[in-house]
Amino acid sequence: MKEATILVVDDSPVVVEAVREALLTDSFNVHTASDGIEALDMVKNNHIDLILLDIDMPRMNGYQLCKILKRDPNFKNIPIVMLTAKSSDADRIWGLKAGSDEYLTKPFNYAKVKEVIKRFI
Amino acid sequence: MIQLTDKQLMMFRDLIFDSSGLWFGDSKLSILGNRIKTRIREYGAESPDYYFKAISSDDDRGELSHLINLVTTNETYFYRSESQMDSFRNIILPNLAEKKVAEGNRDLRIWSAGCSTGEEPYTIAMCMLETIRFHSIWNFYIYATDISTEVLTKAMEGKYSKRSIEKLPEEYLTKYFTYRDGTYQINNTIKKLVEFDYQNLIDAYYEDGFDVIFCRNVLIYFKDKSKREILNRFYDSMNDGGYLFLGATEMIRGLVDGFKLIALKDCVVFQKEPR
Repeated sequence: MKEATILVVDDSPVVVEAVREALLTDSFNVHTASDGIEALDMVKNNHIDLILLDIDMPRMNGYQLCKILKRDPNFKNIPIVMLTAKSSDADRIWGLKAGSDEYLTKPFNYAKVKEVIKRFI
Repeated sequence: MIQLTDKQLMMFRDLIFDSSGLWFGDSKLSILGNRIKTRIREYGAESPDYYFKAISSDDDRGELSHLINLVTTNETYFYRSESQMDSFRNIILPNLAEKKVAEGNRDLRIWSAGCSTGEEPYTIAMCMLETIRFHSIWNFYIYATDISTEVLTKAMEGKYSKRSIEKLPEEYLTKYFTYRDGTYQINNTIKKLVEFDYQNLIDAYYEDGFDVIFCRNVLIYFKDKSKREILNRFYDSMNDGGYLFLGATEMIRGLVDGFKLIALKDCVVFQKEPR
């Protein structure tokens, strides 16, 4: 599990910083992006082992990014964990339809996030 | 009984605008107020201030998202704005098909932006199947987007009440629906033509290559600055000569260049022209 690289995508600097700090403490490498377009660029130019992905973000939302990556043979195997405030059943269904591998809601418990990451890496 | 003061209503309006870009002008404030009050009751909040505090904190952003879904969801029905749909079916589609055939191109891409529970994109699909000859050799793509996952999920289910289908031509109803247990289920022939997607129009990522965009009674939820951005993105996402249908009373003069207004039978459409 050491040195796996996680991409954290969220438009909230507070969330990004909190998750980044926790992941670094657990010896993950961390990249961050504040919207889907920035994240797409990051994925194309870096090795990423897993993505923690918010949904409502400016420019490109999380569902759209997820769909693009899961349709691309180069990136479709990167596990995507939605980490979002969107908590209704319909939101979850949409997350699965977009191709996400797991769906976690905010406010989140880092232990749970870590448990999910471990499952994929 | 929940009471909402003008000041509280403005606070909710500003919060919704800040988080989604959707703007409720003065003419829509009373609808907004009623829907917020309904939601406060359902949520079980003791007061509007308590509810506002909950949804504006990071603790319950999911509820804010739910509220935005509720205040933007409007009832719609099949074959809405009959004159526009007639013009689309009888004028626009035949013209586009003729042009495409001459170019040796069999792709036809339509976008229903703000598709709500699916009545519009499914109506578009039926019109295409009914109008275009030899449709099996065409590639039809109907892209249908909305900001609410709740309405998108309903759209994908494709089950409708009698009220939704009342304006639909009888032959469409017979051909494209199955009546069961009091509801009208849209057939798979139509369903498979439509790709539903979640999108807020203020997001910058748009698909492109569209021949027609329907965005009816949606821009009314945005301020002029956002309207300009959206219309310019529509322009970029359309093929040359593509058509834009807005709500019957919506105009775009002064907001965007590059669209020519065309008067059709009892309605207007905007056509993309070179800038």
